[in-house]
Amino acid sequence: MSIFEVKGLSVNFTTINGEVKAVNNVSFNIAKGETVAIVGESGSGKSQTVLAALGLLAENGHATGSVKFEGQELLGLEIKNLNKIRGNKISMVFQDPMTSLNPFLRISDQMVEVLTLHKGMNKKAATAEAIRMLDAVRLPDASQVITRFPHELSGGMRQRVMIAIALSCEPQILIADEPTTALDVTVQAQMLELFKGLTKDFGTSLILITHDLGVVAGIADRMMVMYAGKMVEKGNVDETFYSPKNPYTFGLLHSTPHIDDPEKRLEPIDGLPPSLENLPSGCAFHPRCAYSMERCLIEEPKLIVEKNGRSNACFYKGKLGDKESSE
Amino acid sequence: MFIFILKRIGIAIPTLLVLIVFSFVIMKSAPGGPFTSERPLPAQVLLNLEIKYGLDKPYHEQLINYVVDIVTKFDFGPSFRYKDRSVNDIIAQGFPITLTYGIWSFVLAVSVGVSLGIVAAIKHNSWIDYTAVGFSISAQVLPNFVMAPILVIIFTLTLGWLPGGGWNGGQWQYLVMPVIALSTSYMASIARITRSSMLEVLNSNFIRTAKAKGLSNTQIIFKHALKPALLPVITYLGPAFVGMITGSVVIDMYFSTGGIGQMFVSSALNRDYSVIMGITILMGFLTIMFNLVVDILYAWIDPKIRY
Repeated sequence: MSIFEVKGLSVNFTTINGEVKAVNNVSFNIAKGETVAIVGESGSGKSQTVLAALGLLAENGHATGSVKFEGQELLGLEIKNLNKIRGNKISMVFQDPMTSLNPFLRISDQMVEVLTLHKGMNKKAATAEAIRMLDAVRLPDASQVITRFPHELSGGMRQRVMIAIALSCEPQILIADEPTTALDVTVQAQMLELFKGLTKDFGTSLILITHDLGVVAGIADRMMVMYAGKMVEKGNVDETFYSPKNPYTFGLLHSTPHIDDPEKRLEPIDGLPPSLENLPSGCAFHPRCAYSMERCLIEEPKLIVEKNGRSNACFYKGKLGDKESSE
Repeated sequence: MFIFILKRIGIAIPTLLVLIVFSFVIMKSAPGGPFTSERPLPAQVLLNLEIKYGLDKPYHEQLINYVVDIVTKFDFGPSFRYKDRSVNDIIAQGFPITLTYGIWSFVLAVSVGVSLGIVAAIKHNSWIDYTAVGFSISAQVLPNFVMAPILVIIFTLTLGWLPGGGWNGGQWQYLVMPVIALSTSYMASIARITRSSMLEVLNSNFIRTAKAKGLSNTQIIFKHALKPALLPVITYLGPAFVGMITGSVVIDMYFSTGGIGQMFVSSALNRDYSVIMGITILMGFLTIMFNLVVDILYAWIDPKIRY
C-alpha cells in the first residue's frame, strides 16, 4: 500500500530565457516504511521533484501533475491545509545544515515551534520532547545544545538538529535532500546509520535524494535514476546495481570507484549534463551515450515497466558493457 | 559588552578632538572674520573686539583655550554675532525644536518605511510591490526643497488647513509639514532597504526550512525573517537618525522653525566661529553616539556578534 503517489509531475521555471522544464512527467510510489533513493547528477531535477510536492518551489517555479499523500492531493492544496501536513506528516531535511537553520534563533526556539504547532504542546512539554529528540539523534549534551545558537554547533551537530526537528512529529515520510553532502566522510557514515535506525524505529518512509551511489547501496530498498528532469530507470537497489538496464545508470555505476577492485580504471561518462534550457532532441542522454542509435535522436524513450517491477527508458535492449570491451 | 562600550567611548574622545582641530583649521583658513562687514570697522574697534574674544592670540592658543573651556566648564564660548548670547544658549534654544520634529520624522519614516518594505517584499511582483517601489523612487528623487513648497501650496494656500511656517511652541499644526517634508526621502530609503533585504531573507534556506515545518506566513515573517531583514536597515538608521534630529537647513529655512539647521548656515555665513564649532561638535558627538547605539543593537539582534 503506497502512502505517497506521484503521477505525471512536471516542474517548470519561468526565467528570462523562457520556460525551463526542470522535472518532466515523473511518476513513482512510496510504500510505508520503505526507503527509496532518487539518484542523479546536479540539475537532474531530483530536488525539485520533492520540493514541488511540498509546495516549496522558488517563486518562479510551478508544478503540474499530481502528488498524493494518503490519497490527498497536495498540488494546489490550500496553504493552510498544506501546513498541517508539512513538518508534521511529511518532513524534510535539507542539503546544507549550515544555512538551513535560522542563525538568529536558538535551537530550542526552532525545535519547540514545530511541536507546539503540530502537537499542541505547551512550551515546557515541547522543550522536554525536543531534548528527547536530540538524544534520539545521538547528540551528546542535548540539554546544553538546545540553548545554543546554530553558529555554535558543528556541521554534523546541526544536521542532527535538522533531523531531530524533521522527526519530532513522527512523520510518515521523511524527505532527505542530500543530507550528507555537506558533511565529512565519518560524519556521513554516522548520519546514514542514524537514518537507518530511525526509519526502522519510527516506521518512517524515507525518500533520499543523493548523487552518492555508496549511500544508496547502504540504505535504500529501491532506487530511481533521473536524468535531465526525467526518470530513466527504477528498480530495487540490488538488482539495479547488479544489472543496470539503462546506459546512464550503467555509466553512473562504472564511474564510481570500487574498493574490491582498486586497480580498475574508472570510466567517466563523457561530456556534461545537458542544459535544461536547450535539451538535445529525442533521448536527452544520446549525445553522451555509447549505445545511441538513430532512433534516439528523433524519439524520446518512454519509461516501460519490465519484470520484477523494474522500469527503464531506453531503446537499446542489448547487454550493457559489451561496447566498451569490444572497442 | 561593557568593556566594548567603554572602549568605544574612549575612542570617541580623540575622534571629537580631531573633529575640533579639523573644523578649526578649515574655519581659520577661510578668508574674512566675524567682524568683517561691507563697511570696514575702525582698526582700533576691530582690535578691541578681537582682544575681547581672544582672537588676537595665536591660533594654537585660541584652540587650546577653546578646548580647555569645553572640558573644564562645558563652555562653548560666546557667539561673535549675537552679543550677550553664548553658544550654549543658542543650541539650547534651537536644538529642542529640531529634536522635536526630527524625532517625529524618524518615527514616521521608520514605521511607514519598514512596513511598506516588508509588505512589498511579501507581495513581491504584485501591484502593492510596484506601488511601493514607485512611491519610494519618486519620494527619493523629490528633494525636500521641492517637497516643502508643494506642501505649502496644498495645505496652506489651497486648503488653508495648516500654517505656512513658524513654530509656536511645537503645536501639531506647525509640525505636520516639516515632519512630512523631512521624513519622505528617509522613508523611501528605509522602504527600499527593507524590501530588498527582506526579499533576500525570504529566499534563504532557513526560510525554506521554516516553510517545510508548516509554519504560517505570519510566523515565518515575524519570528524568522524580521530580525535578519532589519539588520541592514539598522545600519542605515544610525546616521539617518542623526541627520533628522540635527535638522535640515531647507526645512528650518523654509518653515522658519528656528531650528538648529538654520543657525548652522547663518553662523557659517557670518563666520560666527564658536557657533559653527559648537554645532559641528554636537553633530559629531551625536553621530558617534548613534553609531555606538547601532553596534549595540547589532549585538542584541545577531547572536553571532558578541563584543
